[in-house]
Amino acid sequence: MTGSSCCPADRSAGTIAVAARLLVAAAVPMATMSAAACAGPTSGLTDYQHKAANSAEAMASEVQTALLTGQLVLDRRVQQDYAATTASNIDDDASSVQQTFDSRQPPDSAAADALRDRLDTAMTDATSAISDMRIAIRRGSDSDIRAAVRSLMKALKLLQRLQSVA
Amino acid sequence: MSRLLSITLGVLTAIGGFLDIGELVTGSLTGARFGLSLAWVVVLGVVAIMLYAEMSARIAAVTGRAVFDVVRERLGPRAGLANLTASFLVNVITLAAEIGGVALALQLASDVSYLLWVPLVAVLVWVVLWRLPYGAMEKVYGLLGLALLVFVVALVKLHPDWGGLWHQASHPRVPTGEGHPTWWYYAIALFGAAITPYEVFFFSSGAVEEGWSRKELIDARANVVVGFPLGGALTIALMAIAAVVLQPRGIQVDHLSQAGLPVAVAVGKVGVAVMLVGFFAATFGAAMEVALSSGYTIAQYFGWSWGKLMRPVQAPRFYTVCLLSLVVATGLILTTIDPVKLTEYVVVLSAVAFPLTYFPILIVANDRAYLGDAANPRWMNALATVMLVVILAASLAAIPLMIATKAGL
Amino acid sequence: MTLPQELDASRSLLDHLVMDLEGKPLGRVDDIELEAVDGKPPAITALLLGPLALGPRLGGRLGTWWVAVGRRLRQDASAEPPRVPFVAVTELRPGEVRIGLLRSEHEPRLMTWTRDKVIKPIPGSGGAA
Repeated sequence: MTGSSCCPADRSAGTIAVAARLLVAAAVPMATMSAAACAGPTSGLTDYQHKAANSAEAMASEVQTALLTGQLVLDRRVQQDYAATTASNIDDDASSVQQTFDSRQPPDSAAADALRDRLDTAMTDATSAISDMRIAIRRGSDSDIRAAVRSLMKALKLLQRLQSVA
Repeated sequence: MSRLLSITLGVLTAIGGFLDIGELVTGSLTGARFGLSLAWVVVLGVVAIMLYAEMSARIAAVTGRAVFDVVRERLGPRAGLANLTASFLVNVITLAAEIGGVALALQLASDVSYLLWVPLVAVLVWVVLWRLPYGAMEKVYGLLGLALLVFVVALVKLHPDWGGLWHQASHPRVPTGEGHPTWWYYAIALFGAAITPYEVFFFSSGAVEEGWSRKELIDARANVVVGFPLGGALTIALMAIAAVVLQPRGIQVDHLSQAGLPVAVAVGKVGVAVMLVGFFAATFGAAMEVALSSGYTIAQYFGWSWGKLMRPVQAPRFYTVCLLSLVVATGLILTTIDPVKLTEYVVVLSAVAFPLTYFPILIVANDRAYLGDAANPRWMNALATVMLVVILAASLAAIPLMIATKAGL
Repeated sequence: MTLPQELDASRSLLDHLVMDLEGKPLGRVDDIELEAVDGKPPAITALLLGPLALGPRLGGRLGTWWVAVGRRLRQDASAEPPRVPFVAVTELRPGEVRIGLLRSEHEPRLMTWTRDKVIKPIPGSGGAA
């Protein structure tokens, strides 16, 4: 695979200019989305509760995936590489879900702080259980996987309670 | 007998060939999130692509002109250039997504990071385009793509509530807890995945290059009429297994690995292995087609020699463009942008450019000066016009919905 | 086939593929050269190909820039677009203009450049070593 540009400089410069214009046009919605994805200040308790519920839902999805994957490994219904890749993906995702939520500025209220604490605890339990599952799958240890399943189920219960907050 | 064999081969190739990373991602994602309530979009997409693929093949067989020949001749150089730029951009990003898809499939089989696979995949695509006999390759990948039939097997083995699934599919409703704009956003994404223009560029260019006459058109119609709907059925099967396994658990599909979990549940390790072969074949085959389509569109606009069957020295500008788009696409995916997210964005953004591509095809397919008695019959015109309106609606709604729903959040 | 005495350039010529004696594409009719004739519609004297011809038709800033790119490619600020005299046209077909020249004798520069600089260096290109 050659790394050099193929065409005479000006022609490719031209194409790039037009492409850049189009990318700018496409970038506006993308920038809006990224800005929305980056946690900004949240206005109002309801808004914060809504975002908390979304985060809980996202984390629950990761937990459920980890549970399903672990179960499939125990049942010998999935290859080691597939399960390991899935578990690592979920591990990374879970950390980022927690980070995103933690970086949100809660509104100045006791209720918001209480919610934040509860969700943060649940998410910490979840991410730690998901990591345990990742390690257990990669080690190929059925007993470790079963232990991780138990921790995941506990974390899941907490998260499910918090999903219906908003 | 050998004619029947060749038609069968063509149909089988079309089934697997219908699916690429776009369908794999959007099919599974929408199934997990919305059940089968968006299955109708796949049906709509299949009808649209059947119509426009047939028209572009007919144009190719009767006039010897491929889609971008038609676009420039009909829209003129300015509008044609706008169309070309948009199509080329979408092509390159789609190519990046397909290469990412191949690499993800390889990662799932090996637990080696997809980023390490990407350069190898790019080189492999190039080698196939450069040296290997394309016709044979196309058939190999098409047939291997049939491995995705494992989705149907998985669905059957899950013993789902067939009545319930049918009800969901036939009475589309936005599920509780989801917003209407999000539902429509994903409808556009599914539709966009089904009717990506590169399929039409590729199909018509192949028809011109292989010198199709009306005789080959009959076989091509069989491929289109039987192959594409079956491909659509495979997509719906993928959606259904996600609905049955992932949706009740609240699992959202952010990774290709999650899309495959239902197959593991239903069929076990063998199913997963077969599915990975299918993932590889579908995305690799698509990567080849998209790389060639990048060359086709530009070469046809400017009037250069082009052709996948030509030796590179006979069509140097065409091959150079293909190589360039492969390099750029590889660079894009190596920026560690999430391939699944990239796929979700490109299927929606490509919807914006659709009308420019499909409108000229409809116009020329009607032009009796070009096609004589092979021009569109009235019923086909009516249907194709309705489809064009749908395409236009999707194209206009795509960006606003993307902004409003924050890309489907 | 005899060429018509009068034709609508936008329908029968412009943006059509230019095919050589062997049926190989040379490019497209990016513009045409006209000569004023007293009392009659102008006569077409040549087909013009390439960015220098297409630029003015694209118009606006895009067109100006297109022409500038074309000039840089030829490394000649006063270059005129490649010209196919209209007398070389042998046949007009839908979407195609056939001319009685060989592409191998009038090869577009980009084609030669890409063949020599990009394609031939890569092994297996099918060119003579």
